Amino acid sequence: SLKLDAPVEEKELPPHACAYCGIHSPSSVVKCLTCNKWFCSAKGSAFSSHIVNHLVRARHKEVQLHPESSLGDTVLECYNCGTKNVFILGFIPAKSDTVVVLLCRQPCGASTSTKDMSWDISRWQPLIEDRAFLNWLVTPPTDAEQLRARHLTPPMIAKLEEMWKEAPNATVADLEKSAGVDDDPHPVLLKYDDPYHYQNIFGPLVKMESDYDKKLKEAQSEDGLQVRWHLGLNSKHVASFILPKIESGDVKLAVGDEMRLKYKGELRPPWEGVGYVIKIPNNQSDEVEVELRKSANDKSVPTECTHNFSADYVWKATSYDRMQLAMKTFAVDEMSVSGYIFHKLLGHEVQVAPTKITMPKKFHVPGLPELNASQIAAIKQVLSNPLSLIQGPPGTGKTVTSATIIYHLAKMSNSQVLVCAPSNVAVDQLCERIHRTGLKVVRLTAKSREDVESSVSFLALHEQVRMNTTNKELDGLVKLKTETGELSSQDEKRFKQLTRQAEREILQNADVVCCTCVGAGDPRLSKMKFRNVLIDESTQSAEPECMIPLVLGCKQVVLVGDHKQLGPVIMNKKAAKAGLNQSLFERLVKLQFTPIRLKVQYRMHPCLSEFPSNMFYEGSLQNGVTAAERLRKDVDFPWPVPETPMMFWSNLGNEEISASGTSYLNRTEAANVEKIVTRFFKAGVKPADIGVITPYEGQRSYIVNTMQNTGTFKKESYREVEVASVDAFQGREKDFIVLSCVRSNENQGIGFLSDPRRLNVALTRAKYGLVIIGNPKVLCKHELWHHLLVHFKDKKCLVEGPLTNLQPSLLQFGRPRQAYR
Amino acid sequence: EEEEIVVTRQQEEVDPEEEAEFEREFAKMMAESLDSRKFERKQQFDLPLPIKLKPRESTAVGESSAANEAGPSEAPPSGEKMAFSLLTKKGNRQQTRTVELPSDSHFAIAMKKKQQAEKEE
Ligand SMILES: [Zn+2]
Ligand SMILES: [Zn+2]
Ligand SMILES: [Zn+2]
Repeated sequence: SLKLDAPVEEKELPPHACAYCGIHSPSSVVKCLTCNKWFCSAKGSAFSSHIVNHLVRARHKEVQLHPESSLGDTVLECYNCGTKNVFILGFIPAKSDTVVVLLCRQPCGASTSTKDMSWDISRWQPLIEDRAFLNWLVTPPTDAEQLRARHLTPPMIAKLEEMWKEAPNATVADLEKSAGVDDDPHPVLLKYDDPYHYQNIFGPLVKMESDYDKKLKEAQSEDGLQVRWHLGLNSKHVASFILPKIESGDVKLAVGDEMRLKYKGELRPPWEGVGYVIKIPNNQSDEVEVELRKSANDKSVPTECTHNFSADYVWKATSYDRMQLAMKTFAVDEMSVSGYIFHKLLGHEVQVAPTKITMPKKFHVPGLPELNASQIAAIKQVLSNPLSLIQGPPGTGKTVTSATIIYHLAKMSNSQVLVCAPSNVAVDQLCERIHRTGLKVVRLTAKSREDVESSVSFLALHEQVRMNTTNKELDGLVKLKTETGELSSQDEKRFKQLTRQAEREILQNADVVCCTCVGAGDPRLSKMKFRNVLIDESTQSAEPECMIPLVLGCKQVVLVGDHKQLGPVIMNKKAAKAGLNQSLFERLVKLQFTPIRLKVQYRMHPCLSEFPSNMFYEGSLQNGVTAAERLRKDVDFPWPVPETPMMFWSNLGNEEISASGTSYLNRTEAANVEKIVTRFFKAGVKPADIGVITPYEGQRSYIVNTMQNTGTFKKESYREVEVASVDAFQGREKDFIVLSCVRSNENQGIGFLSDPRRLNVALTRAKYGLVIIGNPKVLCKHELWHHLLVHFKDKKCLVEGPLTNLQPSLLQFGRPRQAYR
Repeated sequence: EEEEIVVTRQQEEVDPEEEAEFEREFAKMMAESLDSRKFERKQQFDLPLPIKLKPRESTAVGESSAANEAGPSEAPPSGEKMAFSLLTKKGNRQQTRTVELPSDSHFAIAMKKKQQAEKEE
């Protein structure tokens, strides 16, 4: 079968690394001849060097130097009698020459000196001085080495030595494992002693999330599916079917995921095939589409059958493996990140000498829009610092700013820039912008996504390889493969070889390489070094995910994001609670690292930006658009205040549990969403310019159906209206947004809605108008929503009654019950 | 490109009790080692100096060693060095290897004094 990913070489510490701390420069380590472990001469926080510590605690006495040290693999022993006990060894000098020799104190060093002897025995000097070997014999590690090394406290050293008595091959990692056997994972910290400490906290959390994800995905197997077949443009078979379990919302299927389809009926012999998901349920249809991978038995695909199929999710550990590997690389490879970044990531206090750079004369970049003052200020600061955070509130031109920074980084440093984001959509967007500046960009995609349509397909590495016709042999094989669908095994081997070579060349010639954070762990990048790394939407990825692009040699890092909008999605509640849902950006902010904030927003009508600015950005958001520019006078809509295109429409209908039993819906709200959408249609708003946001999957699917069944406008129009979760709308905008809050009960909480970051995102998607549908009596109990409702009421935009006759609501709000922070 | 950074880390406190405990263990180790040698037969040490030793140069008697060429990769940054030869035995063969002693070490100071005295003579 086809092996998609080449194995990634793991970075390991060399065998002669200090068994305590990992330091491994040959001149600083010695081998204990009793247990064959290596130890260094660092003192760490203990008051004796690691080697002496070990010898005393383990009661071992004999050592050998490293073959690559200046004295070679010398065994330390008495020149005269050959004893190797280092506790009684010492040096004596020659009387009249610069020669020294090792001699034991007893008996050889105790013999009396005679006058005609060439050696001065009276000046015997012990090998161990100050609980360490003489530093000219075993060099103390440099400060830099010690700062990067594993940090072991004396009690941990003692425990480790105890452990070795039972299990001589145990490692510090085993020690930590035995320490953390309790159920609850250790929560994340703000600061870490060393990269191993970091790995010890995050490793188990990533593992938990990975196990949970696997369990969830594998539980998705479904039998008795009905399948429709068609042939894709690339002549691959596509199966369409409905997966009932998706509706529950527990299951998150994504484009590019792998599924195995099986035929289990009796009309023909059993069959199975593997393919990639190319479509997931959306407002067009609830069907999932899987495109089968080309294989030798392509002709046996049971396209004549429609019933008795089953689908299994093929779970891949790739992304989690890459996170773990990145953390390991961070620990053992001193070239993985610069010293400054290393300490910053661990939360240490570190200062760096200012880098001497010549600022570009002008910051505006060809192909990109002009910049405002806050954007220029941000860019200037970023270019002169090894690590920067840029906070981009909604609509503040984050992508343009990022693209400009990338341009200057590439031009100034003359080295390649790695550009990442957690999602493919975000990577594509940025990739396209960078392409417009004229830089050479390569978009690296996972093999499984090579066939997925995107706006930047022409920049994709595989596409650039395909279009590159300079290599006639490769070109010929590509054509042959396209025509026949398959190559002989010999041709296939050659094809792969030539492809790899072409890929390498294209990657090396690029100014900028773009991929997802997980994509940065692609084996095709593992031999490359990226001095400059920019991670967009970094607040949406878990910390270990951010580490993947960082450990490729970064010296200058830009993290872009907004910690006041939605963070990473972590499915395992325990792992999330332990802090895996906190982004690196957010932790750095908590460590008093001030982000550079972009302050001018160009998206929303000023009345729409006012509340988010005050509530989430200390009132710092300025409007780069005027009210007049964001008022659609041509759209006849019953806004309570015509020049303030926003309203909170009080709906008191009850919430219900959805059919799947795990989600919520609200019929009244759904019916009213349809009425508002229809009203927008009648006013001439295009379906693609309207977005419906609802936090619950149950309500999403209910709204889609309601619009189809009761909408009085053209069915296709409703289908073109995007109905999705807040999360799906992050990073995007629509002219008009309708928000259906769903939750409406007397006693329970408001679930998802209580997250201020989710509310911020929901409120900041609309350019020209926002309609919120919800139950003010329930929502106002929550402090944040209380503020929102008071705001709408003050603006005379809180209304009730039928859409054709909206009236100001006279509701009074008491003090909220729950605080939101 | 060189990176100049300054890292501030809190000094970790060492538990004085643990320190004392280790100190005891260390002393015990020393004492036991010496004790075990008490009844060792005295062996007179008298060895002629290896001939033709030129300090400040790698010299190997008996066999040449590749390790000699590779000096310490990261010499401690402080002060001057003085090259000494360390006389060792490999099997029955004698060999010398260059060691760089800090010029403020006992041996180096003594050697400088001696050289100074010889000059004045
Ligand atoms: Zn040992
Ligand atoms: Zn060590
Ligand atoms: Zn001896």
